[in-house]
Amino acid sequence: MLNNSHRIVEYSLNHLTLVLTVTGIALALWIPTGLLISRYERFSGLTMALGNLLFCIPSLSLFGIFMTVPHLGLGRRSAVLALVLYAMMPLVRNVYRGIKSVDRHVVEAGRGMGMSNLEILWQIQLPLAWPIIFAGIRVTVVLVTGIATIATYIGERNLGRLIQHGITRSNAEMIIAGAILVSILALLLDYLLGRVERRLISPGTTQVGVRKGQEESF
Amino acid sequence: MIKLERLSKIFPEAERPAVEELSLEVDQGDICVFVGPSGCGKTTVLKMINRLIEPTAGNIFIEEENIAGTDPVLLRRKIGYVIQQIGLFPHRTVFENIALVPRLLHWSHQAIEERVQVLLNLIGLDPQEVYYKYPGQLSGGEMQRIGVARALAADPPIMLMDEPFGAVDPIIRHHLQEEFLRIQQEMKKTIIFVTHDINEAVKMGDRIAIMNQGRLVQYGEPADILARPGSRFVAEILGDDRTMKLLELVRVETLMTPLDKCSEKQSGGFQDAELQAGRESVQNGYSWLETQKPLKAALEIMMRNNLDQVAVCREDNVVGILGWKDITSYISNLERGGRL
Ligand SMILES: Nc1ncnc2c1ncn2[C@@H]1O[C@H](COP(=O)(O)OP(=O)(O)OP(=O)(O)O)[C@@H](O)[C@H]1O
Ligand SMILES: [Mg+2]
Repeated sequence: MLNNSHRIVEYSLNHLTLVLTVTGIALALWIPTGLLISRYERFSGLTMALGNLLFCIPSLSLFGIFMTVPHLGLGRRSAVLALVLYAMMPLVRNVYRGIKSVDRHVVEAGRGMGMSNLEILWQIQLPLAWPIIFAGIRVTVVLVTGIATIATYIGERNLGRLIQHGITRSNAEMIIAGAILVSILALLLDYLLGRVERRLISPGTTQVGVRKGQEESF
Repeated sequence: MIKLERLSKIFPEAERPAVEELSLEVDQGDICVFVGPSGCGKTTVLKMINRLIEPTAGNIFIEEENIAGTDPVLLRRKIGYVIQQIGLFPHRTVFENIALVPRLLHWSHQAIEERVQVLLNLIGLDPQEVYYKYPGQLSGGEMQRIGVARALAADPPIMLMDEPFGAVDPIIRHHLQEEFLRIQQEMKKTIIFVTHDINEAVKMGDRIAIMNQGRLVQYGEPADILARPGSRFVAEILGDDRTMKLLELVRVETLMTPLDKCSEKQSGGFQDAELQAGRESVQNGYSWLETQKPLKAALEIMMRNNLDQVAVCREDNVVGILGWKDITSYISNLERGGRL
């Protein structure tokens, strides 16, 4: 039992670090990509089609393919790469959609008053697109947490291993324990992101915030 | 001074030019009002002046400088812009919205605070009340006023105002127009103002530019345009009560006969002694009004009291006489002089 719980902690931590690594890289890569295609519209179709395509490849085979590539091989590098590719679709799409959802008259007002492109991006488009971008980030994190279990087949020692062992040993309890732990991890991360989101999003952009503000002003 | 020189804009794939060969000059400190039917190119002209749209042909000069050679971002910071759709930043408070351009220009925090207070008072909103509100918590009229305040924030010498009072009811609109004219008396900004509403144009404009299908069809002072519409189109825009509009516009002092030029006969109704006795006697025995009042007010008094002339006063003295005949002959002369 002690041995077991020790292992569960190890698996959970491994799972968490994999998810965090992937999320970090994916954000650094796909948010700028989303911003770029919202600016250079002609690349948007192709980029999003690529994202969709990657998303449709069954995860097991994607992990498997990278495993055979020299320098990637069994283990974390292949896992990270595959998961980052999965994250492309929800992140790029939401960033693009978020930026496009910003009222063009607000952008035009900003430009008309002498804001530079960068100022418009930072001060208008990103803050107003945040709710949609953030929704994408939360979906991505939950998604990556789930798919990461499959990486156990290419050598990741994470919560997927519980499930894998459960399957090979026909041990339902083990499978369920693994599944629950993965869900808990996903929900926890989602909850934490929710807290961050509330801090980052202006009360002016949400109905609730507006009502709250109104009460305060009386 | 703003000078537009044979300005044209043809949007890609458009059937006809949005703006065609438009030339005009707006003097320093004047309000030039663009009026015309929807889609005639008013907004396009404004946006070419702050380079949100690049002209297909033609030039724009501001203070003799061709703006095609300027940095658009710097140019825009010197031009106040009230966008037709208001376009407040929903994620920023009223204070932050108004503070936008001063912040871009790196004003000190204190200077910005003071300026926002001044502007809120100027547009008739209580700073206490609205300072920390978000645009979503304001009424349409309040948002529109914040839009105007935002454009005025850095005290730009030039203002482009695209239907700035479009979204408010007639009473508030009237109030905002009055307020704006009052502050313009001090600001003396060069303003290009767009509206659908000919009444607003007549009221606000030192000059009116009437547009149709991308072309400037008439440009001049409101009274001249009302008196002499150059085409059926302009006459239609002015409405069938354009003489009445003119009566609202022209001040009694422009038509009155100054006292020293009054013949015995003209001042018939007013005995010399009474005239010299000034306002009080006139007030008692006759009807009078001030020099600044419109002809319409003079007619109103004459009709109500069954008179054919009124005294015109400045401060406490009678300075002239205005007769019914003066007004009717003025109007009929205009009609005869006009092309319609
Ligand atoms: N970005 C654009 N691309 C293509 N056509 C445009 C664009 N902007 C305006 N137009 C066209 O140019 C013409 C003039 O438009 P503009 O917005 O200047 O009209 P307007 O006089 O301001 O009308 P309104 O009173 O309705 O605001 C219209 O036919 C419009 O469809
Ligand atoms: Mg318009």
